[in-house]
Amino acid sequence: MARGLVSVNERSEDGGPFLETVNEERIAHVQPSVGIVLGESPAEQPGTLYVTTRRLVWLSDEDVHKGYVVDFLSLTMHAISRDEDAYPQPCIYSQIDGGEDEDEEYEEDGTDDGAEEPLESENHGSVGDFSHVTEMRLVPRDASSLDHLFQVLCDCAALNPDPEGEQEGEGDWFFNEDEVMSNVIGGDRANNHVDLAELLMQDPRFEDADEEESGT
Amino acid sequence: MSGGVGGGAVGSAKTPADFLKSIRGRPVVVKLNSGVDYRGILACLDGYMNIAMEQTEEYVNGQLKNKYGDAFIRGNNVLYISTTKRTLGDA
Repeated sequence: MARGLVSVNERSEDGGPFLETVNEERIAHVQPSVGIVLGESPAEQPGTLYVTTRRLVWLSDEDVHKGYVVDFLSLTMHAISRDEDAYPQPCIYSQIDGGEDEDEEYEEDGTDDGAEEPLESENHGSVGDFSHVTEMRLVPRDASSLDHLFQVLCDCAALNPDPEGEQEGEGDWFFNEDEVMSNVIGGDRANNHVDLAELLMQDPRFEDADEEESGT
Repeated sequence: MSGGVGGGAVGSAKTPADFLKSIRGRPVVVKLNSGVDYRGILACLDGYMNIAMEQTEEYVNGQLKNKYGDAFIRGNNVLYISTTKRTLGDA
Protein backbone atom coordinates (compact mmCIF):
# COMPACT_ATOMS: atom_id res chain seq x y z
CA MET A 1 0.00 0.00 0.00
CA ALA A 2 3.01 2.30 0.28
CA ARG A 3 3.03 4.45 -2.79
CA GLY A 4 6.45 5.98 -2.40
CA LEU A 5 7.40 9.41 -3.61
CA VAL A 6 5.44 10.97 -6.46
CA SER A 7 5.81 14.27 -8.17
CA VAL A 8 2.98 16.74 -8.41
CA ASN A 9 2.53 19.54 -10.86
CA GLU A 10 -0.60 21.16 -9.48
CA ARG A 11 -1.28 23.25 -6.49
CA SER A 12 -4.27 25.08 -5.11
CA GLU A 13 -4.99 28.77 -5.62
CA ASP A 14 -3.39 29.76 -2.35
CA GLY A 15 -0.15 28.16 -3.47
CA GLY A 16 -0.45 25.18 -1.20
CA PRO A 17 -1.19 21.57 -1.96
CA PHE A 18 -4.58 20.15 -2.81
CA LEU A 19 -5.81 18.42 0.32
CA GLU A 20 -7.64 15.13 0.18
CA THR A 21 -10.83 16.05 1.92
CA VAL A 22 -12.07 12.47 1.79
CA ASN A 23 -9.31 11.67 4.28
CA GLU A 24 -10.04 14.79 6.30
CA GLU A 25 -6.54 15.83 5.51
CA ARG A 26 -5.41 19.08 7.04
CA ILE A 27 -2.16 20.98 7.19
CA ALA A 28 -0.27 20.50 10.43
CA HIS A 29 2.78 22.61 9.69
CA VAL A 30 4.21 24.82 6.99
CA GLN A 31 7.96 25.31 6.75
CA PRO A 32 9.21 27.87 4.25
CA SER A 33 12.66 27.93 2.68
CA VAL A 34 13.26 24.22 2.60
CA GLY A 35 15.47 22.41 0.13
CA ILE A 36 14.71 18.85 -0.85
CA VAL A 37 17.27 16.20 -1.71
CA LEU A 38 16.13 13.03 -3.41
CA GLY A 39 18.62 10.21 -3.18
CA GLU A 40 22.01 11.42 -4.28
CA SER A 41 20.65 14.20 -6.47
CA PRO A 42 21.56 17.81 -5.80
CA ALA A 43 19.30 19.79 -3.53
CA GLU A 44 16.29 21.40 -5.13
CA GLN A 45 15.45 24.73 -3.59
CA PRO A 46 13.96 26.92 -2.53
CA GLY A 47 10.66 25.36 -1.70
CA THR A 48 7.99 25.21 0.94
CA LEU A 49 7.30 22.13 2.98
CA TYR A 50 3.73 21.34 3.94
CA VAL A 51 3.28 18.68 6.56
CA THR A 52 -0.29 17.42 6.47
CA THR A 53 -2.00 14.85 8.59
CA ARG A 54 -1.57 12.39 5.72
CA ARG A 55 1.41 13.42 3.65
CA LEU A 56 4.59 15.38 3.22
CA VAL A 57 4.35 17.88 0.39
CA TRP A 58 7.22 19.94 -0.96
CA LEU A 59 6.36 22.62 -3.48
CA SER A 60 8.97 24.58 -5.36
CA ASP A 61 8.91 28.31 -4.77
CA GLU A 62 10.26 28.98 -8.24
CA ASP A 63 8.42 26.49 -10.43
CA VAL A 64 4.70 26.26 -9.73
CA HIS A 65 4.57 22.97 -11.57
CA LYS A 66 7.21 21.25 -9.50
CA GLY A 67 6.52 19.45 -6.30
CA TYR A 68 6.87 16.13 -4.54
CA VAL A 69 4.55 14.23 -2.28
CA VAL A 70 5.10 11.24 -0.06
CA ASP A 71 2.47 9.81 2.23
CA PHE A 72 3.30 8.85 5.79
CA LEU A 73 2.46 5.24 5.03
CA SER A 74 5.53 5.24 2.83
CA LEU A 75 7.88 6.91 5.28
CA THR A 76 9.62 4.05 7.00
CA MET A 77 11.67 6.33 9.17
CA HIS A 78 12.74 9.91 9.58
CA ALA A 79 15.51 11.38 11.69
CA ILE A 80 17.45 14.50 12.45
CA SER A 81 20.78 14.36 10.69
CA ARG A 82 23.55 16.62 11.93
CA ASP A 83 26.30 14.36 10.70
CA GLU A 84 28.30 16.55 8.34
CA ASP A 85 29.92 13.50 6.80
CA ALA A 86 26.53 12.34 5.63
CA TYR A 87 25.30 15.75 4.51
CA PRO A 88 26.87 19.14 5.02
CA GLN A 89 23.78 20.86 6.38
CA PRO A 90 21.57 19.79 9.26
CA CYS A 91 18.46 18.23 7.84
CA ILE A 92 15.67 15.75 8.24
CA TYR A 93 16.75 12.47 6.73
CA SER A 94 14.06 10.01 5.77
CA GLN A 95 13.64 6.68 4.09
CA ILE A 96 10.82 5.93 1.73
CA ASP A 97 9.21 2.64 0.93
CA GLY A 98 8.09 2.70 -2.66
CA GLY A 99 6.47 -0.68 -2.41
CA GLU A 100 9.40 -2.38 -4.07
CA ASP A 101 10.73 -5.76 -3.10
CA GLU A 102 12.47 -5.37 0.24
CA ASP A 103 15.39 -7.42 -0.96
CA GLU A 104 16.32 -4.43 -3.01
CA GLU A 105 16.57 -2.22 0.04
CA TYR A 106 20.14 -3.10 0.78
CA GLU A 107 22.44 -5.23 -1.25
CA GLU A 108 24.29 -8.00 0.43
CA ASP A 109 27.62 -6.27 0.25
CA GLY A 110 26.27 -3.59 2.52
CA THR A 111 25.77 -0.78 0.05
CA ASP A 112 22.35 0.74 -0.17
CA ASP A 113 20.59 0.85 -3.49
CA GLY A 114 18.13 3.61 -4.25
CA ALA A 115 20.51 6.34 -3.22
CA GLU A 116 22.85 5.36 -6.01
CA GLU A 117 20.29 5.41 -8.77
CA PRO A 118 20.48 8.53 -10.91
CA LEU A 119 17.38 10.59 -11.43
CA GLU A 120 18.35 12.07 -14.76
CA SER A 121 16.01 9.67 -16.50
CA GLU A 122 13.04 11.28 -14.78
CA ASN A 123 11.33 14.42 -16.01
CA HIS A 124 11.69 16.96 -13.28
CA GLY A 125 8.57 18.99 -12.87
CA SER A 126 6.16 16.67 -14.63
CA VAL A 127 3.96 14.12 -12.98
CA GLY A 128 6.13 11.07 -12.64
CA ASP A 129 6.86 8.03 -10.64
CA PHE A 130 9.64 8.48 -8.17
CA SER A 131 8.93 5.25 -6.36
CA HIS A 132 12.55 4.20 -6.74
CA VAL A 133 13.62 7.06 -4.50
CA THR A 134 14.38 5.54 -1.13
CA GLU A 135 16.12 8.40 0.62
CA MET A 136 15.05 11.99 1.04
CA ARG A 137 16.49 14.92 2.93
CA LEU A 138 14.65 18.06 3.89
CA VAL A 139 17.04 20.92 4.47
CA PRO A 140 15.46 23.95 6.11
CA ARG A 141 17.33 27.20 5.80
CA ASP A 142 16.59 27.68 9.49
CA ALA A 143 18.38 24.80 11.16
CA SER A 144 16.90 25.71 14.52
CA SER A 145 13.54 24.57 13.22
CA LEU A 146 14.69 20.98 12.88
CA ASP A 147 13.62 19.81 16.31
CA HIS A 148 10.10 21.12 15.89
CA LEU A 149 9.86 19.82 12.35
CA PHE A 150 11.01 16.39 13.50
CA GLN A 151 8.35 16.34 16.20
CA VAL A 152 5.62 17.38 13.79
CA LEU A 153 6.62 14.52 11.51
CA CYS A 154 6.45 12.10 14.44
CA ASP A 155 3.01 13.33 15.42
CA CYS A 156 1.63 13.10 11.91
CA ALA A 157 3.24 9.74 11.24
CA ALA A 158 1.52 8.39 14.32
CA LEU A 159 -1.79 9.48 12.81
CA ASN A 160 -1.25 7.10 9.94
CA PRO A 161 -1.07 3.50 11.08
CA ASP A 162 -1.33 0.81 8.48
CA PRO A 163 -4.98 0.29 7.58
CA GLU A 164 -4.77 -3.46 8.09
CA GLY A 165 -3.09 -3.04 11.43
CA GLU A 166 -5.80 -4.62 13.57
CA GLN A 167 -4.78 -8.21 13.15
CA GLU A 168 -4.34 -10.96 15.65
CA GLY A 169 -1.27 -10.13 17.61
CA GLU A 170 -1.51 -6.39 17.08
CA GLY A 171 -0.42 -4.73 20.29
CA ASP A 172 0.67 -7.95 21.93
CA TRP A 173 4.04 -7.77 23.55
CA PHE A 174 6.29 -10.62 24.42
CA PHE A 175 9.17 -9.77 26.63
CA ASN A 176 11.67 -11.20 28.99
CA GLU A 177 10.76 -9.61 32.26
CA ASP A 178 13.96 -10.64 34.01
CA GLU A 179 16.06 -8.99 31.39
CA VAL A 180 14.06 -5.81 31.51
CA MET A 181 13.71 -5.53 35.26
CA SER A 182 17.22 -6.61 36.18
CA ASN A 183 18.63 -3.15 35.62
CA VAL A 184 15.95 -1.34 37.56
CA ILE A 185 17.25 0.16 40.76
CA GLY A 186 15.41 -1.55 43.57
CA GLY A 187 13.88 -4.09 41.24
CA ASP A 188 13.28 -7.40 42.94
CA ARG A 189 14.56 -10.19 40.78
CA ALA A 190 13.42 -12.87 43.18
CA ASN A 191 9.79 -12.08 42.55
CA ASN A 192 10.08 -11.96 38.81
CA HIS A 193 9.64 -15.67 38.47
CA VAL A 194 7.92 -16.54 35.32
CA ASP A 195 5.33 -19.28 35.24
CA LEU A 196 4.76 -19.88 31.61
CA ALA A 197 2.37 -22.76 32.17
CA GLU A 198 0.18 -20.62 34.35
CA LEU A 199 0.08 -17.89 31.77
CA LEU A 200 -0.85 -20.28 28.99
CA MET A 201 -3.60 -21.82 31.05
CA GLN A 202 -5.28 -18.49 31.43
CA ASP A 203 -5.29 -17.62 27.77
CA PRO A 204 -8.50 -18.74 26.06
CA ARG A 205 -6.80 -18.75 22.71
CA PHE A 206 -5.03 -21.92 23.66
CA GLU A 207 -8.20 -23.81 24.49
CA ASP A 208 -9.38 -26.47 22.12
CA ALA A 209 -11.91 -25.34 19.59
CA ASP A 210 -15.47 -26.41 20.17
CA GLU A 211 -16.50 -29.30 18.05
CA GLU A 212 -20.04 -29.30 16.81
CA GLU A 213 -21.91 -32.54 16.39
CA SER A 214 -24.22 -31.36 13.62
CA GLY A 215 -23.44 -29.22 10.61
CA THR A 216 -26.47 -26.96 10.93
CA MET B 1 2.12 -8.45 13.48
CA SER B 2 3.52 -9.32 16.82
CA GLY B 3 6.31 -7.46 18.48
CA GLY B 4 9.09 -9.15 20.32
CA VAL B 5 11.94 -8.46 22.65
CA GLY B 6 15.04 -10.59 22.95
CA GLY B 7 14.51 -13.49 25.32
CA GLY B 8 11.86 -16.15 25.44
CA ALA B 9 10.13 -16.06 28.79
CA VAL B 10 6.88 -14.16 29.16
CA GLY B 11 6.03 -11.87 32.06
CA SER B 12 2.84 -12.65 33.86
CA ALA B 13 1.84 -9.70 36.03
CA LYS B 14 3.09 -6.76 33.98
CA THR B 15 1.00 -5.16 31.30
CA PRO B 16 2.38 -4.01 27.99
CA ALA B 17 2.08 -0.44 29.25
CA ASP B 18 4.32 -1.27 32.19
CA PHE B 19 6.82 -2.82 29.85
CA LEU B 20 6.83 0.23 27.63
CA LYS B 21 7.45 2.48 30.59
CA SER B 22 10.22 0.30 31.89
CA ILE B 23 12.33 0.30 28.77
CA ARG B 24 12.15 3.99 28.03
CA GLY B 25 15.52 5.64 28.30
CA ARG B 26 17.33 2.38 27.77
CA PRO B 27 19.73 1.50 25.00
CA VAL B 28 17.89 -0.67 22.54
CA VAL B 29 18.36 -2.41 19.25
CA VAL B 30 15.51 -2.12 16.81
CA LYS B 31 15.59 -4.59 13.98
CA LEU B 32 13.53 -3.96 10.89
CA ASN B 33 12.04 -6.51 8.55
CA SER B 34 14.65 -5.41 6.04
CA GLY B 35 17.42 -6.55 8.37
CA VAL B 36 18.62 -3.05 9.19
CA ASP B 37 19.47 -2.40 12.84
CA TYR B 38 18.97 0.83 14.66
CA ARG B 39 20.74 1.28 17.96
CA GLY B 40 20.08 4.11 20.30
CA ILE B 41 18.30 5.27 23.40
CA LEU B 42 14.61 4.56 23.37
CA ALA B 43 12.60 7.72 23.81
CA CYS B 44 9.11 6.39 23.36
CA LEU B 45 7.03 3.94 21.44
CA ASP B 46 3.40 3.14 20.94
CA GLY B 47 1.19 0.14 20.41
CA TYR B 48 1.93 0.12 16.70
CA MET B 49 5.61 -0.20 17.51
CA ASN B 50 6.30 3.24 16.13
CA ILE B 51 9.57 4.06 17.83
CA ALA B 52 11.27 7.31 18.69
CA MET B 53 14.88 7.10 19.74
CA GLU B 54 17.85 9.32 20.40
CA GLN B 55 21.54 9.04 19.56
CA THR B 56 20.58 6.68 16.82
CA GLU B 57 22.98 4.62 14.81
CA GLU B 58 22.00 2.68 11.71
CA TYR B 59 23.71 -0.63 11.03
CA VAL B 60 23.49 -2.58 7.82
CA ASN B 61 24.98 -6.05 7.83
CA GLY B 62 26.62 -5.21 11.09
CA GLN B 63 28.34 -2.12 9.73
CA LEU B 64 27.64 1.37 10.97
CA LYS B 65 26.19 3.29 8.07
CA ASN B 66 24.64 6.41 9.50
CA LYS B 67 24.27 8.38 12.69
CA TYR B 68 21.29 10.45 13.56
CA GLY B 69 20.13 12.42 16.52
CA ASP B 70 16.45 11.83 17.10
CA ALA B 71 14.91 9.19 14.88
CA PHE B 72 11.41 7.92 14.32
CA ILE B 73 10.83 4.45 12.95
CA ARG B 74 7.52 3.38 11.53
CA GLY B 75 6.14 0.44 13.43
CA ASN B 76 5.02 -1.73 10.58
CA ASN B 77 8.63 -2.24 9.57
CA VAL B 78 9.82 -3.28 13.00
CA LEU B 79 10.63 -6.91 13.53
CA TYR B 80 11.67 -6.59 17.15
CA ILE B 81 13.02 -4.33 19.83
CA SER B 82 15.66 -5.63 22.17
CA THR B 83 17.21 -4.01 25.17
CA THR B 84 20.95 -4.33 25.19
CA LYS B 85 23.38 -4.87 27.98
CA ARG B 86 25.19 -1.70 26.98
CA THR B 87 24.71 0.81 29.73
CA LEU B 88 25.52 4.46 29.31
CA GLY B 89 26.69 5.58 32.68
CA ASP B 90 23.65 4.53 34.68
CA ALA B 91 24.74 3.19 38.06
